[in-house]
Amino acid sequence: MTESNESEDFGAEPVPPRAMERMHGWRRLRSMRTAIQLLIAVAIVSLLGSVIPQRSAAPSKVAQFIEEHRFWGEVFDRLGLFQVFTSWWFLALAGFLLFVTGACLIPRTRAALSHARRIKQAPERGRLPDLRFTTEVESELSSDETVTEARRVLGRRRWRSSPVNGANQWIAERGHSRETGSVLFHWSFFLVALAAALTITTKFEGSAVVVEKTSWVEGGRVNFDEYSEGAFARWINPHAGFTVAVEDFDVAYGDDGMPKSYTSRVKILDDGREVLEDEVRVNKPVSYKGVKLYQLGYGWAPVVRVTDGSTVVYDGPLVLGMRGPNGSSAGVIKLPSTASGSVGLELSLFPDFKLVPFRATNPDDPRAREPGALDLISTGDFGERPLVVVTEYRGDLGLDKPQNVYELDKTGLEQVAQKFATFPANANEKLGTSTQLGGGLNVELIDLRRFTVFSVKRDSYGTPVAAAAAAVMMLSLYPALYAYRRRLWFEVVEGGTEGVVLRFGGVAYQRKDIFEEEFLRIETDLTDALRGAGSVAKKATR
Amino acid sequence: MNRTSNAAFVSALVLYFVAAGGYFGFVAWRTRKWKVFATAVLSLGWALHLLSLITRTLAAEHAPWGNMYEFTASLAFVLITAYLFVGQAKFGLTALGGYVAAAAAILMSVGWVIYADPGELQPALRSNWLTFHVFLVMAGASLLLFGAILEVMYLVRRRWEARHPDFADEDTSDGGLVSRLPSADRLDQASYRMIMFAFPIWTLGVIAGAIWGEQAWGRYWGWDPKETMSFIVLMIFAAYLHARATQGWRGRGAAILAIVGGVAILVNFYAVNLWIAGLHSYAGT
Amino acid sequence: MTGETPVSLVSTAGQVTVVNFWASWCGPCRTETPMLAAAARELSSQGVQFIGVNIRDDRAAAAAFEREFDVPFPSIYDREAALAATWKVTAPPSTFVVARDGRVVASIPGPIEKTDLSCMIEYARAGGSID
Repeated sequence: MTESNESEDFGAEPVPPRAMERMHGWRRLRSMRTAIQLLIAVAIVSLLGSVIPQRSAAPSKVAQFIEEHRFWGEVFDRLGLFQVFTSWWFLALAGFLLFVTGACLIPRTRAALSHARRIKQAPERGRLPDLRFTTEVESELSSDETVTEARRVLGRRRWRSSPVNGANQWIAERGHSRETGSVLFHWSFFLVALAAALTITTKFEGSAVVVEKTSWVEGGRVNFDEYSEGAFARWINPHAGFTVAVEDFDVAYGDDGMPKSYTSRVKILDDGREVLEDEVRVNKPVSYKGVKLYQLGYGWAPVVRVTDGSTVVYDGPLVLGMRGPNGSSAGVIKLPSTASGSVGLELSLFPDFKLVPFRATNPDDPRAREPGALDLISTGDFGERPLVVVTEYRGDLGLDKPQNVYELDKTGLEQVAQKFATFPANANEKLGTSTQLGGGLNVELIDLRRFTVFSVKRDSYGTPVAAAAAAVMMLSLYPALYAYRRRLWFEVVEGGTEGVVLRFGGVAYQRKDIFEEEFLRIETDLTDALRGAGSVAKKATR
Repeated sequence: MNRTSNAAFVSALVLYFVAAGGYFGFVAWRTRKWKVFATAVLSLGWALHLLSLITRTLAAEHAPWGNMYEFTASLAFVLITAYLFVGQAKFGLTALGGYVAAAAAILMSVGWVIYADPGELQPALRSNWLTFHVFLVMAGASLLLFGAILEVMYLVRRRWEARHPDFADEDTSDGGLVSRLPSADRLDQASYRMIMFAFPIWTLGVIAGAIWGEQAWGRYWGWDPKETMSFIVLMIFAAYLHARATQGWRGRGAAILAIVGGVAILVNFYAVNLWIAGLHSYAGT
Repeated sequence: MTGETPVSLVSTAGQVTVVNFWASWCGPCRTETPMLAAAARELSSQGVQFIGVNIRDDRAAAAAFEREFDVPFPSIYDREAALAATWKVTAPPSTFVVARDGRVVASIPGPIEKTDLSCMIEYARAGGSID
């Protein structure tokens, strides 16, 4: 085996391999080997979470996986493989790694703290320890002056020195920041764990759909479209109750027609008073009273008025869901009790419509044989040539069963008509702004607006603790890796041409290759100082 | 501007292949002429590569790591920079030049296959933290990869040294490629230094990513496949750093960990982008 | 429906009041509304007042809903569900019973059954305590 000339010590006592086999219990737990094995185990377990689709990241993929592999899907689900990072075995493994880290850290921290106060004495007293690097420098000074001068030179190089008890020897040391850094770095994992625990148990987050020129209240679960909160969120991160008024929503497009940026201009009102006016953009959340609003998405919400004879039965913005490329989207209005019975309306918007020759994706499609069949597509999401297709369905809406608010359950419905309309701003001769349906029903398009989707979050404690952990990590990692602990012993003996000789030796506990150079530099410095300073002193006394 | 960038990129790619040939020539014949030739060609390629990245930045109006082509180009650039200015100039690992130049050239060839014109960045990618994050993970990843490659060579050389105790010295050779590699000790040292240098960069890169995630999505960590892979890379190299200091793991065990870590980096950058969906999936365009 | 400025619920003091949060798009609301409408008619002479709060809805659609079920009691139009949030409603339907002294003595999230409603009203009439 190649013996590396770097021998790191992370605080664990060196143990010969044979003795390692016999180690038991506490010592084994605290050994570096256990740490390595646990790190590898965490990596392997995480790999599962990367390869197998996860509910948190891609819920549809999980559903698809279970659908495709019925038996294994079930087995994986039972084992928690679709939510590896919240499964009990992952948490147990991570917890165990933390426990082992803590078991190592407590004695190391204690040692580091006591060491910070004074240099630990070398066990060898009375003679210089057996060192790899030793040398002698002749001094022109008296023995006391030699010691003072040596300590001064070393102090300038940021070495701490102190006399060895009882002996006429001195010990100097540098690079203690390695151990301090390493201990702090490892403690920061506890901060990370604390941050994660705080975030999971105290954060609330949800999404809110808000149409332009309307407002939204950060009041509670009822105001959100999707919502989740930690067990203690209601006490630690309560809802702030302010109102967000969305003045308008803008999308800026690049040359390639892709959105370059999108912006919600919002006003925040608290207790009826306007307290803030700002823009929410991707990468630029807006924060008020600890609640943060993030720009998540957007879509179309045409303002529609539906009349049944002379009665208005719908009058307002209708939020559409994305159905195809370039902003093609659709939404529904359910009218269970018009004068002519129960009606379902489906409104499909093509923001920049175009008629193109029909191209069948399925050869059995009857329209494929129809000459001159046309297809309606959208060429962009700009809303410059919008067209709404209103499809009228009659029959049973199925409202007695639980159903999706954004879709029609078409099992009991029959399509009876399909009409086109556009908005006043884009009206032309061919396309009116309203369309007459059966039974005296009329659909009128008033305005084309957008809606914006905010992700709303309050995590007043988890995020700052995570930030603190990150700061500690970054500040401590460099010293933990690069600083290295080394010691020098020196004594003054009689001899040489001048009568006084400084004998010293040194050892590095890490990065020995660098220490060799450093030792030589120190020797040069000491030689210069003990000779140069001496001659200056002599001149002065002369 | 973009045409200049592409021309410079292809020239650099060709020059790297030529330089790789030159370095192998040096390994085979051990004459100064070969070394001077290879270093000159590689340096010229490096300068053109730099020019390519600068002009690309000007053309795209964002840092040259907005899509996979740009990312690969920058990755190879960091690799060559690390070799030229640290590997060769500081450690004198000239015998490795051929491998590094060839690796960079192959990476760039892959990059050229997935070439995409400079485009507008998606709104989510317009962030200073993102620029910082991607720069750090790219630099960290290429240096960790370099370290992993050195560890592969270390293992090969170590085996060879065990079988040929007579040739263990660097200046002797039995004529094979392995005998011309630096000694196992030096490879071990170099890879350790490289990984020790790269590990904090990668860590900071992951942290910058978390900060960006907090700003863009409202959560600093979400176990998205890319985040998970980055975490795995962190764990493996953390295990490596501990293994370096542990009896029974030092040497072979540590080297294998670093190599596994290198593979994880490649999987993270290519496989995750192309096949696994997640919030980072736009990185695949 | 009553105006957009919420009717102060304080005006209900002195009477047992049933507060029902609903929306026209909410399926379970369709199930419980006929029962609530009948109960409101039956109990109005006995000093029990019903108030609806329509949340996160289109106003015209809400009015159509009220016509469809011939709802006799007034509703507050709470488009942003601001009032609902202060009552800690999580989703419609949600029903509260307020005693004469203004204290909320019972709350039922989700669709309410006739027997539960009668029981809660009796309880409120008794002053929110069982003698």
